[in-house]
Amino acid sequence: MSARTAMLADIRSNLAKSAPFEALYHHLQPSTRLQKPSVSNVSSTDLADQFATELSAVGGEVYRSSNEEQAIDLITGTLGEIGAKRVAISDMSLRESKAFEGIDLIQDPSREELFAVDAGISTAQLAIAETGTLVLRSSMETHRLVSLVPPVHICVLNTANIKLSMSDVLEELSSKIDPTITFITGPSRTSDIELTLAIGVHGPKRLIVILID
Amino acid sequence: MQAQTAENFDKNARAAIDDPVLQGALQNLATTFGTRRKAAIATVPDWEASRESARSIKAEVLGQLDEYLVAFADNAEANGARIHWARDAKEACSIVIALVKERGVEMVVKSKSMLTEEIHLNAALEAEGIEPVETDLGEWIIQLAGETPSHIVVPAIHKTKAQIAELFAEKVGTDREAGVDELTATARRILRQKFAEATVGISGVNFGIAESGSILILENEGNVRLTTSLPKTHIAVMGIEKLLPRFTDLAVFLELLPRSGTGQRLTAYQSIITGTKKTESNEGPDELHIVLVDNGRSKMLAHPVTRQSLACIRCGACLNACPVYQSVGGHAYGAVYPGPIGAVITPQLEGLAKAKQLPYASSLCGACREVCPVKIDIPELLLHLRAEITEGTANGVAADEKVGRGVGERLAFKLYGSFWKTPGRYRFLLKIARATQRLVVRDGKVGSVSGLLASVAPPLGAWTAWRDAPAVAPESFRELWKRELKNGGNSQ
Repeated sequence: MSARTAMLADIRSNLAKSAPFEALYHHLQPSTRLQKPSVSNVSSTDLADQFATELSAVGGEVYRSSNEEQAIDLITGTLGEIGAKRVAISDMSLRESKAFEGIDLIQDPSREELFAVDAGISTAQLAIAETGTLVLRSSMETHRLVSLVPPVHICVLNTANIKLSMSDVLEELSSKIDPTITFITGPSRTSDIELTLAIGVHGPKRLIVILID
Repeated sequence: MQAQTAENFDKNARAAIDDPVLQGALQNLATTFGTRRKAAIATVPDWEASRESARSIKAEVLGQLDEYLVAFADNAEANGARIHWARDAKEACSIVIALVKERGVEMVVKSKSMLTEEIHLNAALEAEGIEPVETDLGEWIIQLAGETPSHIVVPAIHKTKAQIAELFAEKVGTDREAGVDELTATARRILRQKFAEATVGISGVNFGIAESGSILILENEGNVRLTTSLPKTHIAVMGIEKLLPRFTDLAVFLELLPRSGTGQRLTAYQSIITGTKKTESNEGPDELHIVLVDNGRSKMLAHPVTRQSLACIRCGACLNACPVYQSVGGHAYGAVYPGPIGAVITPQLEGLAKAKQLPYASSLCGACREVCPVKIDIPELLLHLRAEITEGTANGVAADEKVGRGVGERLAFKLYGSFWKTPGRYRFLLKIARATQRLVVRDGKVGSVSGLLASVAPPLGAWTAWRDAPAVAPESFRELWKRELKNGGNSQ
């Protein structure tokens, strides 16, 4: 008998031994589903404001722009401010933009390059306003490591893609689930030593989000 | 601390209470996490409805666990993952070791996983010449120290910054005066070299989704993302109880878990992994192996009370809220899972005989039940296990074991019952008590039974060592009442 067969048989025989769970927990209802407030009556500006407030509260930095050119200006400004010399960029469409000309961006970085760069630039495909969370889908953002390995992560997000809640985002993702979906809420953190907060333990020390309205 | 076992909970607990360093750390834990949790759950519109929803989703999964497991395995494999089935710890370790050996590596990076602690995977890997490197900061600290986790969420909570600085100075050569930021930076630097080399990464799983074959892992540090995206091979070790039916069920659990665990609205990262990458250009592992582990879990399905244990999402809230855990810390429990949930899981996983003190390591105050995000009735479970210890049950945890306080205790309580049920016998007993109590009464109280009496009746000594009872009054209220009536009721 294979381990699979044996384990399933064990589960079935133990379930059969038990008195009905429902008899003991009489108030059991078939999966209560929570009703979340609808997104329709919240404007994308309000959602962007809420997103920025929540992300700032957990140590992220948020800058607003009204088009791609402005966004790239903000990115180059940030790269200058942190003195970034080597920068990795994910396969986002923005990387073809003329405004990036003159900056030496590493496309499709190798592992060695990734560990040596000063910053990584990616996009986020969705976001959650309630928690200030970025959502990266591997079907559209195939470079999982650009947002993770470099000490600074710069992420570009269209405000139109900000949803109110986790429920709304999961609903949207569930129609076609990517091989990897990454939720990011602020920079990497730990409280493992005396519950004292330390930033940037394994992932980026800084998370900078450039919003495009 | 290593020698502590569940059999000696009483002795371990006493030592822990006398340890001022540990007491400071535990106080910090209770206030910090307790306060943060309260603030975080206040941001949820209807916390009680969320708990009820989570509880009922878990009940649904556990009631048809066989079907949900098959669905999960089929869907994960359809997406490119390989599923392995492990009946017990030994089988799970063998599967992981074989996978690592086939890939010809001598070092693996690991992210934090209570299940790998439970099956003692690190020791098994080391015995085969494979170096497991824990990458969660807290886990790495205790690995350097050669200790075990004392908390489900913050494994090194029992150590002070000074102790950790001392440890790092000795093991990795940092300054003895190093602060938290410097210690953290050192861990980052050293572990990055390991990440850069590693070709196999081992992780745990927080939730598995039956309908899609996805797994979700939560974290704050980024080491889970590194472990699951840098190496060519990702091995995820998962308890069979971790399943949720639907992808969208994650919403309520992601609302409950971080708030209950660390008091965060959401941890810094969640990774949802569904099979392997679909195109060559994608970064990430080529292979995903999911090891499904039973190791005593299916046995818990056999009774509706014990089945609740499998709903646990390992948030640690019951530890932080428990007056016993707050006083003795995690190591006193002498087991992988400490605190109230540990006191119910350990006896079921390791056998009542080994851990029969643990169901009594509780005042049954109910704080654990109140904070549990999935509404596990831990006091009910503790009482259920206590009953099994004294009575034994046909299908229960104790079915094949010789535990129990035996005939003596049962007889004593039968006798006690028979005297308390009949007024005549009760009054007779009071008379005897009045006549003999001067042997044990000091300052109007029945103090600890010691000396001769304790040596002829040892359970009495154990019972009275920590409990005072008022002495039996020279005259009962009923006797007083009768006497006063006779006197015409006007003496006072």
